Amino acid sequence: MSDLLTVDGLRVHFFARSGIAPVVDGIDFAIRPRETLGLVGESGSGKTMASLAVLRLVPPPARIVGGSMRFQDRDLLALDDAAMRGLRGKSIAMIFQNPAYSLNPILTVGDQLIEILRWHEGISRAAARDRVAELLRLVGIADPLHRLRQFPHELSGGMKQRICIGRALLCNPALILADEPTTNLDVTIQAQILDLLEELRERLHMAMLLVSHDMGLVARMAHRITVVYAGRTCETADARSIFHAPLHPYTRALLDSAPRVDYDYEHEVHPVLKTIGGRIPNLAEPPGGCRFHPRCPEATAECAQLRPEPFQVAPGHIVSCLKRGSHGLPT
Amino acid sequence: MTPLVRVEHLVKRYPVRKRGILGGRTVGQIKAVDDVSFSVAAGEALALVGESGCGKTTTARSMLHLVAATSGEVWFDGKDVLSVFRGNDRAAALRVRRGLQYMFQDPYLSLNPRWTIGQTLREPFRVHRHVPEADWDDRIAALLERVGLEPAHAWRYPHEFSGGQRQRVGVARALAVEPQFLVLDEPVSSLDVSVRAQILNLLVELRAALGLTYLYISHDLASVRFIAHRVAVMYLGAIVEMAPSEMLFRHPLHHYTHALLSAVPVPDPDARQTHVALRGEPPSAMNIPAGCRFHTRCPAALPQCQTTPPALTPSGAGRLVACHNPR
Repeated sequence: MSDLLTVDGLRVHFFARSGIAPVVDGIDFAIRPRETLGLVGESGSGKTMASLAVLRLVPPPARIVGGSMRFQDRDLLALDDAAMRGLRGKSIAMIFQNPAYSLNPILTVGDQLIEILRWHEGISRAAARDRVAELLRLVGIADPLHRLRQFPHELSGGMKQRICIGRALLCNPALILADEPTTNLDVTIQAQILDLLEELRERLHMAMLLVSHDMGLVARMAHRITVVYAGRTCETADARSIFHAPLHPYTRALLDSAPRVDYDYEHEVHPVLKTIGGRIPNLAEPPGGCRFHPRCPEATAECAQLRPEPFQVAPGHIVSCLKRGSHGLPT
Repeated sequence: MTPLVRVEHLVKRYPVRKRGILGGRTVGQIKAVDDVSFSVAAGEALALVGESGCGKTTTARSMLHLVAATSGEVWFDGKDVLSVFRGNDRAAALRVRRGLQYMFQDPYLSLNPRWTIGQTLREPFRVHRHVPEADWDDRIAALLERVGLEPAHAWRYPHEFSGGQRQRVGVARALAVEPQFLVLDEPVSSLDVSVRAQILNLLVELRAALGLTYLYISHDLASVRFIAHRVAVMYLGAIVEMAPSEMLFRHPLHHYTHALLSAVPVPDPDARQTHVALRGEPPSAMNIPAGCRFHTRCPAALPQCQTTPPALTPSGAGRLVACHNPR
């Protein structure tokens, strides 16, 4: 199956007054039609920057400085601004982390949704309103005509996120980028929103890039998973391999260090979680070689010198680690 | 086991006022904490869990008089500490405060940015004067080492630290007065996974080594299962179920507990999660439903649930549940 979106060697640099920080320095991933790809990493891993880069919405002073991105056989970095605007919200739509900030507080829900539809499709206001109301019903909003007249502050967090999902679906996109779509929601509301996203993706034949730090959430939603650390891809594989046979030391550490809701801990002998020593590097001065080497239990001298290249260990399972067969390039 | 801290019928209500031209008037009440009772045994870690707005933080803050409770008692060391805090005897109030400490949620907001870590950590010694002044610096150095930092860190400012390190400072500050009881209010929710594990390990280790008693407040049920011996589940200001950890996580009896647990995604793509979706969103705490407060969203509500509030009653070893029709 050919890929819907391929991102190769993406590089985004942050141009601060004090210097240049390579916040994304070689992230690769690919999304097939109708699948969910989980992009997992901790804060500062570049996962949000990478998803914004797909829409070319990287905020200054950050800039895309290298790599390639192809969507439906078009080179996203070669499109002019008008063509890019035609793509955003139409073929590729985004659901942001904080629904409260991504809705305009001084426009009613109806006004901001109808505007998008009219801009992309050039249809009449009345027709647009009908379409919007129908979509809101699809995302589980019971009385859409009433909601359309409300302002965002009148809605709960879960309701706002439903509106944002509805907004992303307006033009029937082929790909949805969802950046931590449930981070600010309570678990029971999170479960409702995840169910909704999964059902809609299936029903409307969409693909989804799910950006998250939560391994539990991606286990539930994603078909394949890409793990990123400090601006680089560590490992990509199908979900089952990532969870049952992780190869990159960072993927293993991520899985081992989180307490699990389905485990019994022996409280009498006081339990201990496996931890990764140290902390996430400051990307203004990233470590040389493999970026994980200062915290890696398996690191050797060459890990500090050579940058590991992506290496395919099994069909569809790609790892960037010198200990797993990757070639190293001097840094 | 004898309880170290006992909370009896704690209530916290906030008036809702509407402003008019001729002054305001009270139009309603938010029942943030609605008759909560529980006790924590010495050396135990009790978790208070629930979704945002369920009253878990307000319960803990009222216990230490960080907000004034509307009514209720909190017994510690043979006294009702709320009446001590309300009284005029500052020395007695300070003695109680030495026993009960609070560690705050946000490591970025709970440290004074203009003070060095050393200045922040001197404060408990300055207020309580439980150690001769000549020994303060040695004590601070020892505290920093105890929580995994270095004595030299006392000269630095909060902005020079990462989130995990700041939470370590928060732990050190709470431990400075050698308390018996520590409220941990979402201590790891703002931290990344890899750092979160370090802090959780530190908390478990300190409890065992220093014989501390914890009230652990969190919405993150995985960390609760890791740290807590016993769990109390709150919904709309009241405890709906309380049981030893293993019992609660394996066989929740209350339908809300069950829904809450089943909503947590398990990090295993093959996990067969029976997933109970709750309808709708929690009602407002201004308008708590009559009868059982959960009946509007409950999958197993009976007619009587709309009229009669279920009492929190014993059900098996060490478990309490408030439900007419438990699982």
